[in-house]
Amino acid sequence: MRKLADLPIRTKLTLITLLTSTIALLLASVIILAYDNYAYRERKAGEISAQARILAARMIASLEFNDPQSAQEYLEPLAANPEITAAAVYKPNGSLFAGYTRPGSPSPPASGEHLVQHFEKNQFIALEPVQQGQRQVGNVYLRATTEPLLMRISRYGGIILLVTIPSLLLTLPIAMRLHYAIANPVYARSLIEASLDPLVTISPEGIITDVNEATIKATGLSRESLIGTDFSNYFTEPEKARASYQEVFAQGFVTDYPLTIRHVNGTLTDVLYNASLYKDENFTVLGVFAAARDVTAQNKAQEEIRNRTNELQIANRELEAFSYSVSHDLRAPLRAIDGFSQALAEDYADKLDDHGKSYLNRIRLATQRMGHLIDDMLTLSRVTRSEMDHEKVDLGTLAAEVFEELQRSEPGRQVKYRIGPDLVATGDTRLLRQVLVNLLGNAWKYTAKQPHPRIEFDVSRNNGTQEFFVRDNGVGFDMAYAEKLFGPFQRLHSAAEFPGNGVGLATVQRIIHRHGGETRGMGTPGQGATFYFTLPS
Amino acid sequence: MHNSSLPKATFAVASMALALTTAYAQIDEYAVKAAFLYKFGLFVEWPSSAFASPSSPVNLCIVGEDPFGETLDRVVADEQIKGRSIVVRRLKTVERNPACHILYVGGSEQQSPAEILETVRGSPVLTVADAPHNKSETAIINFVIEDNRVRFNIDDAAAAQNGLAISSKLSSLALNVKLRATNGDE
Amino acid sequence: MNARTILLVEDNPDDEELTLRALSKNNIANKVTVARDGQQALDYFFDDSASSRPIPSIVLLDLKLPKINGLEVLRRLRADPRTALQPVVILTSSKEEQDIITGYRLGSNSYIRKPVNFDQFVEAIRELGLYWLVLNEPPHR
Repeated sequence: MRKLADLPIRTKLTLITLLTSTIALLLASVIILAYDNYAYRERKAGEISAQARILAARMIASLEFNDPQSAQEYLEPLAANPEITAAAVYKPNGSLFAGYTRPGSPSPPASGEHLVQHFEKNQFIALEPVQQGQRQVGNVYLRATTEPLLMRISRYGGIILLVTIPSLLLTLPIAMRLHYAIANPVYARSLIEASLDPLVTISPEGIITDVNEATIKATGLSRESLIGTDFSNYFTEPEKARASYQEVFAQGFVTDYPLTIRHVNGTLTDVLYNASLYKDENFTVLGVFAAARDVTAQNKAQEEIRNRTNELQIANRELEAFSYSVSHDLRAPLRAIDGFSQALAEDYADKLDDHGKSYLNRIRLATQRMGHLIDDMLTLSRVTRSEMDHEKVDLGTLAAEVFEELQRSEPGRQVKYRIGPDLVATGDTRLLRQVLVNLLGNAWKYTAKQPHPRIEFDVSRNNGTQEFFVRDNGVGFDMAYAEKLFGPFQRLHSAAEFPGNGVGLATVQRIIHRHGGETRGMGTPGQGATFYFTLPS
Repeated sequence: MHNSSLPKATFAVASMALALTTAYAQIDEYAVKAAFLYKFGLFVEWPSSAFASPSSPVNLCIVGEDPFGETLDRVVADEQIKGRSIVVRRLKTVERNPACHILYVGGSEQQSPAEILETVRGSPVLTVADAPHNKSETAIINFVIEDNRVRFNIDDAAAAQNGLAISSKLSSLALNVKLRATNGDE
Repeated sequence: MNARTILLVEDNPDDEELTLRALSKNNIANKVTVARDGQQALDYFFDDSASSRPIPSIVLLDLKLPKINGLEVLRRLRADPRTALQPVVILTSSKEEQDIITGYRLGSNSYIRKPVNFDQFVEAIRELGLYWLVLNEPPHR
């Protein structure tokens, strides 16, 4: 059997309610019974005495005129009252004048002397003097049975049960409903205890008035040794702790107040304190309720983030320095190779045969390709490193500018292009310009062998997203290689067919990803390609 | 008074065995009757006009022959009727509206019981008499001896004539009650 | 024409040679003085015998230089009243945005990136010479 202490609080409360209700009802029943018994005896005594008085009044004449027969006649009707077991009339000298005895009952006393009105076991003896004016002319004696107390209790028992059981049945649901309210403070307390954050209440004097389990854990001290002591004792900076709750009293609350709890074993816990005043129902300030949030882990994480960011910044700076070097130092030798190859071709033309001249030419082409490659790689790395703006960008205008540049670079080409209306997106102008330079440049490049080249830049809108696309009728590509398109240094065409180094689409993808968009390409060999990108509008 | 009791005593002494019991019975009979005589007053209501004042005594008159002698005086000496003391008056004759509240009709040659009753009829007087020889000459209360005990009859109609009310407690002890016309006690 | 001189600040002998070749290919016969690091460039203007040297019509300034880099040279030239108005063209390999912006902010008159393609480089030098040595009027001091 479970011990009482192990029972759930609701069950305990129900048991307590039922027990107290039962006790109260039983007590009430006993009191009612006792009172009823008293009232019953009073009533009985009153009734029987009244009857005795009536008899006495009637007996005056009988006694005065010494007429026991008439007295007897007066007594006979008592047979109608089953409670009365005996009656008698005595003369003043105590001699029996007239008597009545219920069959089966003891006779009235033979002498009327020394009789007193009283209750005895289950009967009441009434005595009434027969008065004629000031003169007593006799005594009336009446004996009546009273209902035994036990009989009354047993009779009332049923009534008590009838009252008690419905009362208890009524009490039970009421008790159940009230329990929630009663159990609420207990529930609140359990919530406070369940908090993993150290919670304390502090009196206006700065004395701890209550703590929860988490506080005990954080300090390593028992509840008893914490309560009643100064709140500021448990921090590495007691002055700062004191200032914190003084601030609460001054302005009503503090938020994220940094303090460090010192455990008795020396362990330190960084916490942020959030505290406010708590008041009673009359809005009198009772103290400060303070909740500490353990931020040791957070601080560690922040430290970690700071370190990582630092490392990243260092790496970025190194990368920048590297790019800078690449930009300067890699190109300079290339320029030298190209320049001196040219010088050689010019100055020593007579000493070189056509073979030699063609080698020099190939050296120069190679250096120029490498120059482009370096430029593109720098662009790609810059795309990742550079700061981004978020502004409204008119892609249509940008595209028109790019087409103009392309046209200028190859004035001999006739390319039909179309730019759709309202091509507006949000992003970094410089980066999006790079996207268009690469995509339109690709289209320009891959339509070179097309007799009627056509390039289109527009947008398709559905469900609130807009997908921009650059469509050409150039050489296209096999969709089997579609996933390779955006990888850096991936090419689907040989450099001999079309110049390029495979960095352009990788750069496009990186820029679009940085904007939160997506890229994809559709193509059919010989029928052109379409490159799509989405941007937040 | 002494003289009047003497013949009966003489008679009692004359016939021995019977005389003893009779003499005893006679003495006892009139002692009882004397007590009854005033006790009747306890159960009778007189009209207020019958008394001069609230403290006026109740006059108990013996008219004519007196069978009680000093027994009566002794019996009533310390008694009261509803707060009034009792005065015993012995009269030869009575007039109409006599100063009597209870009147024992002894009777004499000067005024016979019938004449006495006739004289006070209509006056607020409770007339008491021994068992009448003649039925027409009844008092309001008439003593009778039954089973060797003093009992009485009540003529409530006569009481009504005299403006008296007789308590039912008294009536219930009577052997016979002649009811008044109104069929009520008071 | 001969009165106008060029100060070429360039540490790389290859670039120096190619630049001189490009100048000559464009028939620019003006006197060219070469400073091979930042310190030499500053000395040209500020050392004891600076007053005896001709004031160049144009300074062609590389950025990556030993001792004192090109941007610092530019800053010091602009900081000194004697050279504050001196026309300076940055002629360098990089087109790092940061360099371009800083260069202009420090008061560069132009920024030219040396192309890898020598033909293009020759063309650039031709235009440059035409502009700064012929068309442009240098400030009088």
